[in-house]
Amino acid sequence: MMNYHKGLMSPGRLGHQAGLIIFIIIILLPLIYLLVKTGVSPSKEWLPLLLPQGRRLGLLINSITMGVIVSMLGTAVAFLIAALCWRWQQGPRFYIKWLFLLMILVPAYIHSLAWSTAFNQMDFWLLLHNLPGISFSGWWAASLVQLMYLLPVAAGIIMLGFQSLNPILIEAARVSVPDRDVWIRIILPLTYPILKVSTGILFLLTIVDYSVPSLFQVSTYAMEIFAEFSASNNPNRIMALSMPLLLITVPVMIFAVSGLRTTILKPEKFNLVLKNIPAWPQEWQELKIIAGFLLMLQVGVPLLVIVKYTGSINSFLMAMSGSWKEIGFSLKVALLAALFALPPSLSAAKQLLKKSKISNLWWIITTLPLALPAPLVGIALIALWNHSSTNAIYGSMIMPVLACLMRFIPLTVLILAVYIKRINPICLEAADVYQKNELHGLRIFLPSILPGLLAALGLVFALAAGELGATLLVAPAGKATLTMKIYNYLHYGATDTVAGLCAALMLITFLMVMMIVCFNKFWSRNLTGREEKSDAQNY
Amino acid sequence: MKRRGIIVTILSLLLFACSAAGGCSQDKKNESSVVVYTSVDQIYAEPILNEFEEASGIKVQAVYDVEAAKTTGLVNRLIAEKNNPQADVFWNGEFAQTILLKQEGVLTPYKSPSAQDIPESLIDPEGYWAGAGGRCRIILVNTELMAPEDYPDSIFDFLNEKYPADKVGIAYPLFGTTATQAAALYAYLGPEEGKSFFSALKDRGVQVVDGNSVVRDMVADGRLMMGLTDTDDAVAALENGKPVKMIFPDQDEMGTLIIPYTTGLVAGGPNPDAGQQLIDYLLSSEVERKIYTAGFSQVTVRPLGIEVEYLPSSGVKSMGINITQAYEQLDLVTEELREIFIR
Repeated sequence: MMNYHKGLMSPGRLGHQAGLIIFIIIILLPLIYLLVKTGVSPSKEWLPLLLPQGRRLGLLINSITMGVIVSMLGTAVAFLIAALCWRWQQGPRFYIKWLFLLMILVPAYIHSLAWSTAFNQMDFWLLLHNLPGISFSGWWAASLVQLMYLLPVAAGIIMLGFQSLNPILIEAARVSVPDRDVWIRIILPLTYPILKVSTGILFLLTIVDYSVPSLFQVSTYAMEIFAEFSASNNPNRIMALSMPLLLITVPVMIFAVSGLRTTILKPEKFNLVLKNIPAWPQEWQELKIIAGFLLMLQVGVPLLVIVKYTGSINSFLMAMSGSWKEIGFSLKVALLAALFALPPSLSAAKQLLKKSKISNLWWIITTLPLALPAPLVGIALIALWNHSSTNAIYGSMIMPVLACLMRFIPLTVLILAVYIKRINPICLEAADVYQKNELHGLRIFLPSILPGLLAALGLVFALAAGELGATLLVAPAGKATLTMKIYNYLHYGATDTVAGLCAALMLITFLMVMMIVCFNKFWSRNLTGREEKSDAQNY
Repeated sequence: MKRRGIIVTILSLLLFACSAAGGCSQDKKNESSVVVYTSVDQIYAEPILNEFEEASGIKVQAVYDVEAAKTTGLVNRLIAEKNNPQADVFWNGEFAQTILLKQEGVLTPYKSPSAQDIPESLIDPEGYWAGAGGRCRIILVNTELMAPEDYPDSIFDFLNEKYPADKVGIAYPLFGTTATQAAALYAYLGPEEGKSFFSALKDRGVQVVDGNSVVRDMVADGRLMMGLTDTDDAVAALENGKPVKMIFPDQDEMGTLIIPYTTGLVAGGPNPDAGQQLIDYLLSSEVERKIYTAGFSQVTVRPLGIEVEYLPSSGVKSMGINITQAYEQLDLVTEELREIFIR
């Protein structure tokens, strides 16, 4: 029998190499360019930036603390919500699940506004009844808003983990032990590696963000980076200042994905679907209620604010009608980013799974962009692409697409790695033997990971539609995304327009993701039908 | 058949993607177009740029900044693009970043004929930039939370114990016009006294929030009883029917800081002639009037004979700080205030 990894590499070897080169051009080249710039003109001033001391060390500790609080709590809550949503495969609850996941598109500021409004109302009510009021500020407020904002990301990752569980193990366990034990002894240990990934990604997204903490007067290291950027306008200093963050996030991500590499990614029998998802144990009903309540709050509080400020359907339609240009541009950028993310992600994911001496280096390269401040990504792209010889690329829509790719490709690589590991190696080996050419082999390989490709497509589309920090720096003149417009109107105080545009962004992405989900459902049903037919014939 | 359908779908998507990418490449070097980067809010800037486009026949391609980028947006983009400039004009909502761009070698001199009736203090002696209009740094109060007799009349009232610290707010004085105001205070009071004022604010526990629009929203929603912000933010709240009032602080002594909008021609920009025409238009009294009546600017550099209901009828006493003097304090301000406010 052929080596599994050899089999994995067989279809489209040339394409694989090309994909890796594109991946490196997208992710590494801009960073290397900035690093070289930093390296060739070193300055003694930058050394203190590399080693934070005093106030900066305090800020770094603040960031780490907030990262730990949000990531641990967030993953715990997301696990409960993902477990609750696991059984929601059809009907209205299926759409609520997707609405919840799409809440990541609502800007952090709207989450902050919504939660501040809710707590203000509560405070008012408490004072009215002569009860002690609640001050919604500081660490706990920042952590709560950050947690609620990032909850869909964590829950999405964990849902993906539930999907990759081996149904045979769970079905077998359900025969011999009660559901409670299935959860504790099978599901929890099997999903532990993906919980680590979720914790890692939440930690990372929290420590690079300054906006939510600063709204609640919590100073963080990311704020220091922005202050430095504003003061010095020097990307090399920012690169140096970002190094401590990179030094923290890279080991965190390596630790987070380490379990994923050895446990959950073990190849499972292709296309097995868990038909009877274990029920919540009777003694966990309180947790179920808590999960449902938190999900309702996460979706309900910001949505109420959006609906309240939008006012009416007419206001919503007016907000949309004035923004067709931005909606069209956002759709194009998001769709291009989603489509172009797949080939290089596929190659990078395969490379991650190869056992080699430099496999750890690949993990570092893959996770590195997640730790970079968005404006730095934009500056790196400008530095690399803004030359007279590359004007055709620089002045085009390709730049915001590249910005989104650089920021979000790591997530698609991780998703595809999960799915590639699940392919039945026998199928690939058979394809390797019978394929007429490499392209022909892809006919087996690509459909095998179609759900993963669609998940990656949907995720990049959603994240690219909401990207701001890097897009702002590289968007071609005369073009703007809907998110850029939302933030512009936010400054003006047109909360009704902002709410209408947020609703429009959510609606468009919801429709797009629903199309992908339906396509996936149709494909899975089609494939299952064919396999069952084939099994029956063999029998 | 179904598989063929899927392949056709995927190929169609890719074809669409490629055509979209190809079709979007901008024609940068074009005699009848001009590229402008602007930090003036899109809601005010866009109609003016559209009118210029209609009147001149020159196509305007604009890139708008957002407050959330915290001045790391377009200014950094312009600096990063310095070796292969993409923009022709920088139209800034304030002045400090324009002076920075001059020092970074991003701008080139251009003395606009439209600037002839603009006071000398708003024109760079070497012609790198010129300003017009003006927003004021004001105190926004919530009229439902404060009685008129309790309204503050000075920014130093932010240190008054009469006003609970958790109900008083400013934006981070490290970014945007709040940083400019801090620099102006340093220039007016002297660096030591300026620093003491901000230290006292921090020690008192005044709310320091993410931006001027957040201050405005918090005052408008009643989460703060008063806050320091710009007049354009305040006017937006007033026009949205919020229970707020603008107080022009320190009218008896120091005066209120007035921040003009500024324009500069980008060195080596692809369409210099069109860029110059756009600058002429932006500095004209016609635009000053339009931007004034739209609500972005609340002070004019020329007598335009129009009144806005929210402004004091007696006019606004200016702080009398030279733009360059304030700018010279900016490095010190960001260095010192970072130590105070980010910890």
